[in-house]
Amino acid sequence: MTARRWRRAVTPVAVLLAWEAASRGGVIPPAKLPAPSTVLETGWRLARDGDLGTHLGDSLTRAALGLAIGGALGVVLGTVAGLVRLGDDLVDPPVQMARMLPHLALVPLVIVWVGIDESLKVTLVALGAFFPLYLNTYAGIRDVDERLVEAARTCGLSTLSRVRHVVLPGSLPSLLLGLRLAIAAAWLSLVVGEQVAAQSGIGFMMMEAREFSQIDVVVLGLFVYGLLGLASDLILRAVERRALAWRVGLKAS
Amino acid sequence: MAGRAESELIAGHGVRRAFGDAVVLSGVDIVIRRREVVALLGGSGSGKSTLLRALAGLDAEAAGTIHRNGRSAVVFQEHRLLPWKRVAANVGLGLTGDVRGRVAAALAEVGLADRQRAWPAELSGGQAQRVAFARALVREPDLLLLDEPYGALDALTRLRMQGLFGRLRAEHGFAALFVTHDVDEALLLADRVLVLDAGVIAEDIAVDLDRPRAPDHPGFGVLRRGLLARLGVPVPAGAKAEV
Repeated sequence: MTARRWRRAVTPVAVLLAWEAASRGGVIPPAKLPAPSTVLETGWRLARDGDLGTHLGDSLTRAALGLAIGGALGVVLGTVAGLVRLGDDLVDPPVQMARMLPHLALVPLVIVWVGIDESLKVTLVALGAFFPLYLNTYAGIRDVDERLVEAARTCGLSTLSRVRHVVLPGSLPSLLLGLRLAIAAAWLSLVVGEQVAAQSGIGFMMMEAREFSQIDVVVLGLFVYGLLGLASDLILRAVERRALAWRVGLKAS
Repeated sequence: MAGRAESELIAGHGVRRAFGDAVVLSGVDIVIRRREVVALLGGSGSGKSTLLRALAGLDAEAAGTIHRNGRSAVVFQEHRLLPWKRVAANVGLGLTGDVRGRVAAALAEVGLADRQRAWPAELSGGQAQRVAFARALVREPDLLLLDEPYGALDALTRLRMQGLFGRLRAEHGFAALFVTHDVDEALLLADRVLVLDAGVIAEDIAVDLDRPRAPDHPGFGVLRRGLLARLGVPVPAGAKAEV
């Protein structure tokens, strides 16, 4: 197993080495794409200055705020629509209509509504996070095995307890999948949002660097986005391992 | 006749249920008294499970009157344990008071005292069904309703489960109504066998055999042949039929 894991690292490392060699050998002009070592050096310099930390902090704040607002709305409305028939009839149709729009196409409209400041970025992230969480919460609740709910009823559980002990835990795997998609959508929204009249953030850092032809900083921004995606994925996996331990039960025995 | 009503744990009169145009139950009269074990036999599609669900109060669309006395618990064909709760939490679901002690006792009775911390996914089919039994037992039911509780198990596990049922029944004295399509199982376990046919109880046969019973006891074969004939599977005397 570990041998296989090492084998899977071979090609990425080879690509990086080839890139480095091609840059140093003059095959790739540094004005188009700087060497990975140059990008890392730039990253180290900006991190020491504190610039990188400031931009990263602002981006993370926007992501967290937007995820909290859009995600909470998605989970609450998805739960209402999934549990209550009246909620389903009232909430689901407009959401299904709105989800057909790519949320990034709303940028011009959102600018008119909330301006170009922080609220634009947070709104975009919230919009991006809302739909995957709504849809997966709704689907997760709908997919809970009716027979388990019935069994809980024969054990004397009230409607509220059935929701708590059967419906919510049963929809958790789907909800976590929604969270994974919501986080991906949040980063995507930030990439776009921070390129519109921002004064800080990773996206702003990249746009500003392009103005001054600092391609190493642009590539550094890409690296940071990639690492953010990777980090959020690792955290989510750890959460899933804990929250969904019952699913891997088969492996344990 | 207050005394009689008291001894009737469940009494259904004119129980009807139709799915669209298909009438499955067309006026069933059924009474289960305290401490008696009743088997409900019938061909597939005869409405056995529908009747059990109606009696358990799980079918809001069943018509007729059903009176219930005392506590009842249900064991389904599939174990229906919540996969996200450990065995002990599944057994104690919805209980209050000294849950831990009662759960431990119930699991010990079905021989799974050491699996309290296991996830349902870690259990074999027979073990999961025993946990489902413990979940019903821990509620100290006066009446146990069982819907083909051994239907999904292999033949050997099935025999062991029948033995376990007999022991628990002797110890706790609960009444039971169990749905089955297995004539031998009905004759091994029940005091009375009901045959559901064409939407009504077509036969009500007392099983007067001494316990412990075995298929080679005298009298068993006669009853067996009679029931099989009633279910549309005639067997000549001396021949062995598989159902």
